[in-house]
Amino acid sequence: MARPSNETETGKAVLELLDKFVCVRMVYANGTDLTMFQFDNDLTFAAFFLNADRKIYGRYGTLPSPRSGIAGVSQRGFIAAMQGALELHRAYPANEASLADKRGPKSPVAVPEDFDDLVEYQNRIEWSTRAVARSCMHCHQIGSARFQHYRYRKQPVPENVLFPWPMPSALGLVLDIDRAAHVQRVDENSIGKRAGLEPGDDILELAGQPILSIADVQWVLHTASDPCRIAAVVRRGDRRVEVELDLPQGFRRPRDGIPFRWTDRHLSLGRVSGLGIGIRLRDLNDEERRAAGIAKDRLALVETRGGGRRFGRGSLTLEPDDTVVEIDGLDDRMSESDVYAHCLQKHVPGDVVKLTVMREGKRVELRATLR
Amino acid sequence: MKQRLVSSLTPIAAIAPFVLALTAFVASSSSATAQRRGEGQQVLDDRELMLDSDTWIYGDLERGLRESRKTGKPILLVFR
Repeated sequence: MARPSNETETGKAVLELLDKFVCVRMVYANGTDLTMFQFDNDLTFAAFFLNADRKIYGRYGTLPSPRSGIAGVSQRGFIAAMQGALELHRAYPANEASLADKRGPKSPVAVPEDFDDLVEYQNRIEWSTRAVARSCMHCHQIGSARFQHYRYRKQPVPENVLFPWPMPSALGLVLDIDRAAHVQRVDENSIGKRAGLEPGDDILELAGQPILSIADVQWVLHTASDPCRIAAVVRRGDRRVEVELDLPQGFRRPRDGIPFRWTDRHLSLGRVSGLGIGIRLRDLNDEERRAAGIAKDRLALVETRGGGRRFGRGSLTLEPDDTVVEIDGLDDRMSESDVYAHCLQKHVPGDVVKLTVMREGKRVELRATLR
Repeated sequence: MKQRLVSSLTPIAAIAPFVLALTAFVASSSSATAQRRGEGQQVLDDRELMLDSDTWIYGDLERGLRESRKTGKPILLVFR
């Protein structure tokens, strides 16, 4: 998002709207109430709209591709969210019930410093030149620490910790970053298409919650149970239309590879599985399956990065072009996300995962120790 | 005074989160110490600027909640 300036109409509008809010700026995560403030910890700019009763109106801030930096936000989108928040504020407290689920379930720990990985931090910043950076906790550290919280306890990592903050693309939707939640595109054979959503729709409510932004759509998807059905209200022209979205089991899991996130840069499939740093698994397409004699409904994930980098002498890695055809005796068709979830939900660190790969036409058995 | 601060400080406040966070992300192990020192100075510079702001409350949500109660305005809370 570009710097708002009085020299442009949108910049001027942002600055005028800021004046209608009490603006609070947090540059560190220390002491954050994790039940109250749940947001995508990989964001570099995350905004909440709330009131003095601590009721949340909505969120703003989206990172469609974590490598793309700030491309998920725009001044126009921010304006739309601010205007929506002001409307909700005017309607408060009559609308209080609809805001209840804007606050999430109780966090496993109250504040970030209670996570095992962050105990060295205090709930405040040391404001001396030498210590300030060291004492300042970054938001993305919370995401990593939350993930490890489950691993250290040898508990399955919850689905929405493994695949946090799903984009609207999980529904087959592309939303306009310059509007609140305006549908630009609906993919064929998608959840959105099956629900009857159309390009041009404005999503007004999801799961009974008013929607101010793409981040609000993500919030509903992030907290939805798996599977579930959620109600949506959209504005289509001058009509209000109600639809229902059926979210199937595993709807959060990206089908086309796990996107990079700062939060889990240490927690990639290759690292946690012990299969080698940097591996990426791609589902074979129909043509490749025909050539390899593998049925459409069977597991076939090829290593695409040219093999994993070893952790140490004698450690196991996938080799270039290895195709995984079985994992722990399972050979149903899976995505890379499914394999990742299998390793982190069915196993705990130290467990051995058995893989069968096709290597130069031969079946090879591998055993990887989860790290 | 306020108008001047809004026009001069708010834009900086709006983008400073990106600058700080990206600085942190690109840290390399070889220059970690120097980078941390530079990052620390940026945080301090940013704080000094923001503490004078009529528009932004810096790092104090409780004060923001009290202010919201007093003025009747909603709160915009930004995490960098």
